[in-house]
Amino acid sequence: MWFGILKGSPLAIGVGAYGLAFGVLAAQAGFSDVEVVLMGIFVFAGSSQIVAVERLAADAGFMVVLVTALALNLRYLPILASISPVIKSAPKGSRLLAIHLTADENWALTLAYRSKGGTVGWRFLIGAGLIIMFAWSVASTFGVWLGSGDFDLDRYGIGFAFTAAFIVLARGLWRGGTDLIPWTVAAIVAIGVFLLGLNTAVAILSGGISGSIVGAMMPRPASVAAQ
Amino acid sequence: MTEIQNLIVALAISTFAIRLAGYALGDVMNRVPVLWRALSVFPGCLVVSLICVAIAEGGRDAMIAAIAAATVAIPSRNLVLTMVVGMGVMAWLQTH
Repeated sequence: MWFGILKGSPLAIGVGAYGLAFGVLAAQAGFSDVEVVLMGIFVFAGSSQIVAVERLAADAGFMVVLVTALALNLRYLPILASISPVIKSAPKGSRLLAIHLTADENWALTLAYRSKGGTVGWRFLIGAGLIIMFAWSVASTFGVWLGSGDFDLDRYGIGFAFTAAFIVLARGLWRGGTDLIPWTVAAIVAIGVFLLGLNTAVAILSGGISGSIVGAMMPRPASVAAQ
Repeated sequence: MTEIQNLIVALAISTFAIRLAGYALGDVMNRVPVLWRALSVFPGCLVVSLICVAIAEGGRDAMIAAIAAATVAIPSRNLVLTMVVGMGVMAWLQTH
């Protein structure tokens, strides 16, 4: 576990940057520091938290916020499936903890070590998950304090902050040339549906779904571990 | 409970359910590569759609700011830098 904490620390710095930005945005959307920390600990899926706060700030309805954020978390289906052999070797109680603590960063780190022949297992996964959770909690708390100050962030183009954060998220999700066609399809469908005047959530989901259908039909190695 | 608190609880429960399902379905998913591919390309497509709708809503200024932000994000992958540049360009465009 300590090895996981050690090796997860560099990643925690990057996670901390997201956490800080998330805290500022969440404060502007009306979240308290306690709510932000509890959300980080119990949801533990940063990008979906950012999306949820953005949709909430855009005054989308409760179900729309929930569905859009959860749609993003569907990626945990293949992520957990690919790491399930590692988690299976843990005792029952630790298994549930390991499942909850699997995020993009420590998942990728654990599989990267194992593909290089390393013997890291579920303890490593949990250790790296805990340091990420710690970094996120501390950074997002500072973010809330920073964001709930007496100034109006709207003056600094805060509305665009989410779009900028999504652009960096997309950069991180980019896996190379095979993503080009699905992403282009997603972009065209999303803009098309939006221009038809339908609900923005409908536009976002139709873009995502049509892109992934096209992606599924393209020939590519089946393993997400190869990302 | 407030709407925010309801959202946190609902998101926490359903996100854990998705993770648990992924773990439980591990063996099945390994045998259905089409499903796997669809699910692994989905997050990227969803984020791209989010960006495109935000730009379509924001108009010309948002498009210019997004291009500036992408120019920084693609080589650097740096969140803080990208947000500063994107928001800076947006704020400048809207005050000039």
